[in-house]
Amino acid sequence: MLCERCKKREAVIRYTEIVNGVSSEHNLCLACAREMDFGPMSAFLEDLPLGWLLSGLLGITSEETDEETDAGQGAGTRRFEVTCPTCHTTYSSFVKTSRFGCPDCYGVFDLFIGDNLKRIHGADRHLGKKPRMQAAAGMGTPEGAGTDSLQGGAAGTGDAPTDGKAAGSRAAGIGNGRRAGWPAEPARPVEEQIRILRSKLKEAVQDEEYETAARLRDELRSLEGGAGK
Amino acid sequence: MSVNKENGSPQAPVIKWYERATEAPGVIVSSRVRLARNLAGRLFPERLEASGRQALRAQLRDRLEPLLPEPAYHYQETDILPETERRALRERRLINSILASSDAPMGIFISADDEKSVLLCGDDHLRLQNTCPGMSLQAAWEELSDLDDRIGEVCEYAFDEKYGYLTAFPTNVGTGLRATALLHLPALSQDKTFRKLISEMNRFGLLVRPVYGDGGENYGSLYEISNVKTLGLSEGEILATVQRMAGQMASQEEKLRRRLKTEQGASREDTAYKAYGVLRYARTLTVREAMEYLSCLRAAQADGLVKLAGPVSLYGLMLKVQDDMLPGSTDGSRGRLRAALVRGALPELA
Ligand SMILES: [Zn+2]
Ligand SMILES: [Zn+2]
Repeated sequence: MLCERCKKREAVIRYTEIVNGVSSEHNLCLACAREMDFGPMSAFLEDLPLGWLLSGLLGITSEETDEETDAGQGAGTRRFEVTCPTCHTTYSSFVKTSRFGCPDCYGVFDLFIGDNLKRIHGADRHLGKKPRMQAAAGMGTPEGAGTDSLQGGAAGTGDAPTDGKAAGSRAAGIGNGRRAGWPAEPARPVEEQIRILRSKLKEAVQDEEYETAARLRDELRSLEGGAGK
Repeated sequence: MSVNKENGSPQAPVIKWYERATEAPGVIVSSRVRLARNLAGRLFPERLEASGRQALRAQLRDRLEPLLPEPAYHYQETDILPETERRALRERRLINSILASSDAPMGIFISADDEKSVLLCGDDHLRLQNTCPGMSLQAAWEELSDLDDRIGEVCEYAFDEKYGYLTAFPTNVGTGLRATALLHLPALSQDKTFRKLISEMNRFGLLVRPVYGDGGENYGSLYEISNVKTLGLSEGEILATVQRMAGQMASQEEKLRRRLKTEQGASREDTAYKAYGVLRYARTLTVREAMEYLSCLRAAQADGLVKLAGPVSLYGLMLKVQDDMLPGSTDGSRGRLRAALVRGALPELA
């Protein structure tokens, strides 16, 4: 998806603006997003983590309320939130309930939860068993049946927002963990390619070449989507 | 009513794990392992509307039924159960207390012996559990891990290379494994070192908590010890830590009991016989009375101070005398039912 402001670069931020209960959605590239005032969120845009790029559009919600403020300003208050694009969980609701709404939340809130996880678990990286066999193709069932698939597809239940990407690209998980479920075996050519693409993507992000990054991301997705076939 | 629901069939009823009698009941009553698992690309159950949650439950049931067939397993939807029966599921440690009070669409496969269960659409899409009597965490884990692998072949799990198995609560992320040993500690819990011991367990990332009691009180001297950390440790390390620390607490309990037996043998014997007398003849019992006397008798039986003529699982009785396991509707009626249940189950003295 192209940025709606410059119509040149790939959109990486979905900005939802809620003013007096009326919400409007905007898809922006990083450069355009940086020119906007996202309050405290702006700092995070300066150092966009790889996980966010991979997990789809990063959601930012700003909500403006009518409440009378002590200072007597008529404008009310503005609140900025990072939002999971898949399940619409906001960071503040996570802080309140300590629970996530979907697997994608881990990628979206990656930056914020690392320290917390370290405090709870004393570590922030999984050791231990992995799924022995992930279904061969992201969407397919092992029997090859189609419609009642439990394999991925947030869109399947009708409860998840469908941005057309959710079903395919997120089916296998989030962030750099995708396709992680394969048993430990010698790297195959496709996996080797994925590895290379991933490190190129990382470099592109570090160099702030987001157009290249977006292209690499799409390449990665199609490779990973087909890796099991 | 709820106690023997699955046993109502004309075939010989399958004995629940906690009903299996032991002659010398050990300090470690049981070992339980639980795995939290979710499907890739799906909203967690709490985020689904009722209809979506029902649909997902039906899909999961269809997928799992071939792996968990009747009559070895029984499938039950919890939202159609009266709350009393959901609370009985909680007493049997098959669901937690928050889910017991929820009438959201959930389903549960329970093995006839109550050892294995798979909960659908609770806090996570799937919660797999296995309980074995005595200290058998490793054996319980191997069985559960095998079931996990087989379910993983028909459901694609939400898994991330960095965070492992993704769960609704980040407190379960990683392995998704909670390993729990249930211990009977009548002597150690009275010892002045107990408090310190519990906080020492915290340093190893373990949590010790009393199973029964109100507020600061505890009756029955049953304690659970389980891992807090689920991320950054392998399943083997988690199991080994819980096993080692549970074993350490058990051997301290045994040491204390040996000392008490030599130092206060006569008075301990007297207390145990009095407990037996009350349990054997009382017409009404409160939960607290039943738990304290059963706990006392269980320890005395283990220590060879009292010998019973027939087999009985005293822990099984401790479980069944709980309010939520009895069909009575008032404290009075439950008190009479409780006393009758214990009287009927307790063998003569040998
Ligand atoms: Zn732009
Ligand atoms: Zn989410």
